[in-house]
Amino acid sequence: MSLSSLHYFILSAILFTIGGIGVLVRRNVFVIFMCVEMMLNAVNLSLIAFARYLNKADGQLLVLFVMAIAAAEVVVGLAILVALHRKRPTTDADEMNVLRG
Amino acid sequence: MLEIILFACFALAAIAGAIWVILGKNATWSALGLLINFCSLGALYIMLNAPFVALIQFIVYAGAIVVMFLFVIMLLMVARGEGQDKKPVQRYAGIALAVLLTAGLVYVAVGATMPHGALPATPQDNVRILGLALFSEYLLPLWMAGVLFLIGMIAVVMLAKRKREA
Repeated sequence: MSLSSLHYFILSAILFTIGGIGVLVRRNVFVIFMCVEMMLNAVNLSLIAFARYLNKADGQLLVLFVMAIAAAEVVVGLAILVALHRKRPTTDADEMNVLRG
Repeated sequence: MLEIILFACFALAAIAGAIWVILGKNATWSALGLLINFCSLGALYIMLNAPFVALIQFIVYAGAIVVMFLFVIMLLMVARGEGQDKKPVQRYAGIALAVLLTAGLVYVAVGATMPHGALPATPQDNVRILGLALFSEYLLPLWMAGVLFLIGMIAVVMLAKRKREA
């Protein structure tokens, strides 16, 4: 038995699911945000596995762009959380139920 | 054989880190689980002959993003801030849906015809290949990413600015 692309895809599915469970179950906004990052990383793993087993560099480039956008997303998201925390000092996602600033 | 053992170690570490993130009562501990998850994924990228992406994973994710999370959590002093769940049925429904999703993903992955055993580019060529593609075929997305960063910086400055007292 040798390592094949299937192992990486199954690992990627498991990690994606754990991230999804975190987003659905947890209510701390920081943990939800971390779980979204984990889901992005799970997809990155399958993209890299595709790049390796199809012998093309495009998957790796796509991962680089995903990382760039994820970095920008984290910066803006955390800034939103800091601004929200000034209005309403809570980290419970269920408490954040108004759109009005 | 060594490859399988390494894969098993890093895969288990990644899954353990992920579970640690969602079980942690304290957001700071969750951030540390996230660090374990990112580092083991970086190790898997090296096994997949993507050393450059692994390096960026360590620097950007395990370095910058985790530190930024920890910084904001500690700045706001909000490590423990989660009330009681009002509707516990949501929790079980969420877990059930997620397990269904894994079953579907695994079913599709097993049923699909996957490529096997193509010879990868040698690792020392990796950066050259990525650089050539990035600055020729993917030049426009690269510029767009730069513009995105600029917009992100401006947005953060605007969001973080306190409104002047009237």
